[in-house]
Amino acid sequence: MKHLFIYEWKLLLRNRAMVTAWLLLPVIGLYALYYGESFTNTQLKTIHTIDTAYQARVQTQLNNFTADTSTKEGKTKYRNAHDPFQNEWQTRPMAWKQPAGLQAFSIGQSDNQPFYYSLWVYNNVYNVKQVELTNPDKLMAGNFDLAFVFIYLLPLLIIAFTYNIASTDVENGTAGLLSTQGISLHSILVGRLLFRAGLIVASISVLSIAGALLNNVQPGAAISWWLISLLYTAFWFGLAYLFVARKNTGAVTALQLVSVWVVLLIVVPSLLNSRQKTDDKAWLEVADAARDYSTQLRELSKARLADTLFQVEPTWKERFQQKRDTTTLRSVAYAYFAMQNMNRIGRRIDSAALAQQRRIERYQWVNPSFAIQLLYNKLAGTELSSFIAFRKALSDYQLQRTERLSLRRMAGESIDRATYAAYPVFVQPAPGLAASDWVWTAAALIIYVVVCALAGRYYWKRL
Amino acid sequence: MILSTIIRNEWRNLFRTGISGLLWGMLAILAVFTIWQAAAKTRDVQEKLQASQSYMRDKFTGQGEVNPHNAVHYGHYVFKPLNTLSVLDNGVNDYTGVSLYLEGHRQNEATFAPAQGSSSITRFGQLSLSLVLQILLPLFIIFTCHNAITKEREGQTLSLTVLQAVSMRRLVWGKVLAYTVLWTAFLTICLGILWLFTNGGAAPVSPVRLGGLWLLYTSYYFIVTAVCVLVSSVSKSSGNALLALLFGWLLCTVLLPKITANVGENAAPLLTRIELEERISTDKKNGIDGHNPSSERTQLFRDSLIKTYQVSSLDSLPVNLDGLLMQADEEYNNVVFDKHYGTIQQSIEQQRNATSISSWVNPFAFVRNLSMAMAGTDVYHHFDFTDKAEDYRRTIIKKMNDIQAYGGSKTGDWDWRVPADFWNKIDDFNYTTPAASFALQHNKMELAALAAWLLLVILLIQTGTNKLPVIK
Repeated sequence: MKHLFIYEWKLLLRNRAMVTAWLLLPVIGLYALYYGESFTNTQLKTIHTIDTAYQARVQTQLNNFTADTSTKEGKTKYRNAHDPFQNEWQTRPMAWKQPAGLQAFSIGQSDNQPFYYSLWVYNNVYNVKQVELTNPDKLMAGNFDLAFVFIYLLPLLIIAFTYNIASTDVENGTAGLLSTQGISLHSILVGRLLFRAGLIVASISVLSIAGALLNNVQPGAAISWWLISLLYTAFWFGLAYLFVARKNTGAVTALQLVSVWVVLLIVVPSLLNSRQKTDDKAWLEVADAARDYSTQLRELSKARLADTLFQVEPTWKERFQQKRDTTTLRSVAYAYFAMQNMNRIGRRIDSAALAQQRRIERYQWVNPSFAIQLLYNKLAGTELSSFIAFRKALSDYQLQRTERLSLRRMAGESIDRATYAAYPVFVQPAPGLAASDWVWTAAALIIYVVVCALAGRYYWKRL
Repeated sequence: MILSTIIRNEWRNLFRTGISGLLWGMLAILAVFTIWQAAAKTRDVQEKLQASQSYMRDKFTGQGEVNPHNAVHYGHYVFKPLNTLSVLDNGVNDYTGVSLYLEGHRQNEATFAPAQGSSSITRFGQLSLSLVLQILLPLFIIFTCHNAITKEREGQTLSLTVLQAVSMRRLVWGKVLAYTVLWTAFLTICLGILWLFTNGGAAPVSPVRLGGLWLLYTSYYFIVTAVCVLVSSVSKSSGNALLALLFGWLLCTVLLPKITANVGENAAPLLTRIELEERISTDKKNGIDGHNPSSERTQLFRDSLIKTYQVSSLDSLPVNLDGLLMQADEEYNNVVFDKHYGTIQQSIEQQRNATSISSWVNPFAFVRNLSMAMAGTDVYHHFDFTDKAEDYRRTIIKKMNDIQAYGGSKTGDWDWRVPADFWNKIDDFNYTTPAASFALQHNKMELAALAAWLLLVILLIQTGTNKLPVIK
């Protein structure tokens, strides 16, 4: 086997097309890493702008707690700092989805989802009217990230490396000569496959390590990424072995493998995608709930408003201060209850979207390319499920914050500097892979590799 | 040997092999399946949109007696109708919102794009008729035509054919036409089925647009077939021709579209939402703020009213100042919105230019853009919808402000209400897809590239094929 590898290495160096193809993968991969990093950097830049402005507002509010009240301006600042509602308005809290290091590897759906939100009490994370500016044409074309290179281009490189490894000897008339060398043709075939697999794995490893270093990826996440890539590589080498072992001409094998590529990368995922259904009407319910609630509240008297509030939140009655004006009651009711209402509808929609994602995941046995894309995205926190988890955590946080604020406003309580400084901050759920995500995809792909190996062996012996 | 004999001979050879019939069958099943599925989906979405539009219209007209400025804030929703030709090519529809919230003081964008609520499988594209016609059928053409000449050369029938006084040019023309007629027949059947499935729906298919699509795809198949036969004629073996063509197919349909879109994005990056909001906010600060009577421009506007109405004070105005201020605020803001949203649209058009330019080297690029355009599902049609919806927003907001100003209410009387039948007098939003010429106007480079490609392959066949060697 050692001699075979040395021979293959010499053959590789002599074949300019193969060397170019092999070197093309790291070059394209590096561009993909650059592209992914640029995308993430743009998001980080935006987050930095938001964070800087937000921290400045927080600092201003902290200073305003001790503003000089001998001047008119100072008095206003002092009053606004201690008034919980004014304070919230001046602070205009923001929260964002901090990109994980692996986002640069697999952008997933993160260019298609909002990544920062205003948590001002009248806004709602499920009813965002102003979304990030995007070019629909560009979204449709997709991203040239490392996941794309591995999922789409890597199999093509494997096909280019393997389609003629058995037929070339027959076509060149060297098959007979080789069989007299004391090593079976099958062993030569396997050796060649392993040699080429080694080349591909080397490229994958170099790219994964370079990307991980460039993007400060945690070692655990980087290793998981690498293992997923190996799994996918093994799957395609398994397929290549199966078709090469059928002993067709190189052109026919290439044709068959490209056809499999078309089916697995284009036909099956697009077929499953076209079976998806989105409920656009449900989102209108959220938007409608917001404005209808506002109209209904406008028609209610102070007494009715208070009664309505206490029916939903009986604990508020104890701290309710009778002198609160109708406008404040309306504002509290709108901020707190409209938010709950919108959250309820929004979460129902998200649950339906998650259920749909799970339904699609069930087809990973016939859709291995998407199964790998899912693993990559989940690991990078760029899948729909990651975004939904983020949005749910965010809406919980916003509701909690609004609840505190509403209670204070109902009770007519002011806020002090220490309480303001100790406000809980939003904690983003960490992306990652659950064991169940891994097990099924890994099982499916390993079974495929074993089946391909057995079937390939069978064809090789029979034909 | 006359041309028709060559064509008949090609057809006979093609259908003699079982594998070819199998591929044809698979392609036909895929095409019918995609049409059936997309037609059902389109009908469903059209019905939902229609229902949503009616529901929102009822809410708008049923507001009853309310203060017009409250109604300005309550706003209205309009919906982008789904073009029936989206059955063929859904274009960017999955990535653009379908509903638009119209309210006073601000211009919103269409929201709730279907792709946002989907897992990343949406990025693999949809199995649509456009995918079959643009990507899979050319692959089938490659499988079928890669050996059009090499097969004859390898079987040594090429020299026999040439001995019968058939020039290479005539042979290549015969093969190109034979296959092109087949693809065109397949295309015609697909479009006919599409017509049958969608006929009688909410929005009838435009025959001009459908005819344009037929011409586009026929030209595309002629180009792809000619390239395949030409590559076959210069290749040493069928295997070489196949590998070269497969590489070209992958480059054109998978790699280049993504690369050009990414290059376009880097060449003309879009503003972030925050940057846009800041710019709008800065420009608006210099305007009239209907909710802030103390601003300098508001003061100037008040003074101008006193002069116009020749009254001593604002209290003596025969109209409601609040309504006038709100409308002046709107008109100033509209100029600001036009400036900034115009810039965004320009950036998107610049980004798209990269794809348009790639049409000169990639036939898939022009067919993709022109197909979306003729189906009414490209980004320009989306802009047309949002522009018309914005015009409608301005119209209804002006009506509300005007009734507040001239409807008989007094300045500061925010409890004044319009009669309940006022809302019925405001026309509903009715969006109609622009004429086919609109699609062509925005794709001049793609049309030029299509013409250039047609010319190029015709020239190559006419001038280059007779010099090709019969034996290699």
